[in-house]
Amino acid sequence: MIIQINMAGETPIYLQIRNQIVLAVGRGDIPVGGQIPTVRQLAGDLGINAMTVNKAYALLKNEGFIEIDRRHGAKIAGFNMNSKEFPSRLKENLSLIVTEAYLKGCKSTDILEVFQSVIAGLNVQTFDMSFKKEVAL
Amino acid sequence: MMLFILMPCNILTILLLHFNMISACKPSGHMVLGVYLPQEHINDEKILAITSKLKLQLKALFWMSLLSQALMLVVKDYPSLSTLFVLIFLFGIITIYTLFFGVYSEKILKLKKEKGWIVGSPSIISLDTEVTRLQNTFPVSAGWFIPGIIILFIVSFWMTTSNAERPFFLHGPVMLVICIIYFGGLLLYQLFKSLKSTVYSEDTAVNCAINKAYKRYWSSFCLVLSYLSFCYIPCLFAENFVSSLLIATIVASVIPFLYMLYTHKKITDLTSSLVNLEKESFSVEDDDFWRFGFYNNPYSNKVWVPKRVGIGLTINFATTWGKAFSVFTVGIIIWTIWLCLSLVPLDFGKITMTQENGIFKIDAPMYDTDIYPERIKSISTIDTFPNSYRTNGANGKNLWVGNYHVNGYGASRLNIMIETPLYIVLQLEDDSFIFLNGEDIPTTLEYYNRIKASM
Repeated sequence: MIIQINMAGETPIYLQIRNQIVLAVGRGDIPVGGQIPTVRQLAGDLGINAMTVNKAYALLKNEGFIEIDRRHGAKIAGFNMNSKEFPSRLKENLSLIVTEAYLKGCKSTDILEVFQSVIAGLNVQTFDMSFKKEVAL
Repeated sequence: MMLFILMPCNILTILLLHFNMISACKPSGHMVLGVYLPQEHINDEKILAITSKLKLQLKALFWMSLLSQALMLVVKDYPSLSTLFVLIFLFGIITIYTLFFGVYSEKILKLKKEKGWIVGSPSIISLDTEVTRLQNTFPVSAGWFIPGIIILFIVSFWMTTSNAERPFFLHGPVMLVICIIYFGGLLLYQLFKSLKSTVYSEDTAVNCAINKAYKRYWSSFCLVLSYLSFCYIPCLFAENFVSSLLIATIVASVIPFLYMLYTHKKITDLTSSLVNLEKESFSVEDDDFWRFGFYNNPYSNKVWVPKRVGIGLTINFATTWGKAFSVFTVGIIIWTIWLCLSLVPLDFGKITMTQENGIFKIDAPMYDTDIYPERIKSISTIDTFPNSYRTNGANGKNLWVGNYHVNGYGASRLNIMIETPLYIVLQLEDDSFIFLNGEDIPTTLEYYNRIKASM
C-alpha cells in the first residue's frame, strides 16, 4: 500500500493518512486482515510526530477500519455490515458532493459515470456486493 | 615517498569523479544526470545532445587533470608544498566536476520544465507501508558486532596486563585506530539501518526488493569494514612494526574500497533492472531540491538520503543536522588549509638561538624550545644523526622539530636542520636529550661554544 502525504496541502496530515488507508483498502492494495505499520514506524518513516499518526489510527479504529492488537500491531479490520449510522452519513456526504458537482455544471449522467467508475475500481474481497449495487443504482 | 602516496590518491580521485560523471550521463532508473524524466522522453534528442556535449568536455577535463599531476614532480621535495598542492587540487577538481554536473543537470531540469515532463508534486512524501513495516528486518543483524566487541576487550585486556616490550606510544595509537574503525563501522551500520525507506514503484514487491537489497548490502559492508580493523592486531605482536602497519593499512583501505564499489554496483544493477521494467517512474517531483548534487528539501525531514549520482549517502541540508554538517565541513576545510599553511615554514624556515636572561631560546617553526643552562648535564656533538621516529613532532625537507624517539638516546627534543651534518646533543638532568644545530656548521659551533660557556 502506497501512502502519499502532501506536506503543503490544506487537508490535515492525520486526515490524509486516514483517507489514504481507507482508499488503499478499497482498491485492494491491502487485504482485510493485512498488517499496517505501527504508529512509531509510520511516524518515523514519514518524518512526522507520532501523535499525528496516533490520531489517524484512533480515528480509523473508531470508524472500524482497523484493529489494534498490542502483540501484532495494527491490521485492517473485517467490515461491519450492521452499522446503522453510516448509511445516513453516506447520504449526507454524497448529497453535498452531488449538489456541489451539479452547481459546478456537471450533468447527472457525468456524476453517475464517476460513481460507477469509482465503484468499479473497488476491489475488496469481503465487500458486500448487494451494497455496491445499491449504491450504483 | 610522499609522491608515491599522494599521486595515486589524486589519480584515483580523478578516475572516480570521471567515471562517476560518465555513468550519470547514461539513463538509469528513469534518471539522467540526477534528473527524473518520464520513460518516453529519456532518450529525447535534446537530452542526448546535452549529455554528448558534457561527455566531450569531461574528456578534456580528465586529460587536463591527469597532466596537472606533473606539477607534483616540481614540488615533490617539499612535503608542505606537496600536501598543499594535493589539498588545493582535490578541492579544485571536486568543485570543477560539481560545477560541470550542476550546470548540465540544470539544463536538463530547465528542458524538463519547458516540455512539461513533470511527474508529481514537490511537497508530496510517499511511502510503502509494507516496506515501512518490514524495514527493521532488512539489514544484517546487529548481533554480528558482538564477537568483535569481545575480541576488542580481550586484546585491550592483554595489552594492559602483559609485559610487552613494545612501548605504549606505539600500542596505544594502533589500538585507537582499531577502535575508531570498528566503532566507525558500527556507527555507519546504525546510519544505514535508520535510513528511511524509498518508493521506487507502485509494486510493493519491487519496493521491498530494492529497499532490502540497499540495507542488506550496505549493512554487510559496514560489518566487513568493522572486522577489517582487526588486521591491525598483528602489528601489536609483529617484529617489524612499520612494515606490518603498512600491510594492515593497505588491506584495511583497499578491501573496503573494492567492496564498496561491488556493493554500489550490485544495488545499482538491481535498481535499474527492476525500475526500468516499470512504464512510469514512481518518483516524487523533488528535482528542484537537488541542486549541484546537494539535497535541500524543507518538506522532508529525512536527514540522510541515498545519492542520486555517486556512491553512498548525502545529507539533507534543509534539516538542522544538515546545517550543522555544512558548518562543520566548512570548519574542517578552513582548519585543513590553516594546517597545511602552517607546515610551509618546515620547508623554508630555519632554526635560530638567542639568549635572554641566561635562558637559551630556540626559535623554530611550530616547536620552540627553552634551554636552562643549570639543567644541562652534559654537552657533545655528533656528525651523523642516528635513526629515529617521530612521537609528537613535525618534519619538512630540512627541518626536524618536536618530540622524537632517537635510537641510542631515547625520548628527545629535536630542533635540527637535518642537512647540516653537525648536531649538538644536550643531556638534561632528567636524562632526556635535546638535539639542535644552526643553518651551517660555523653557526652550530657558535651555539655550542655559547652553551658550553654558560654551563
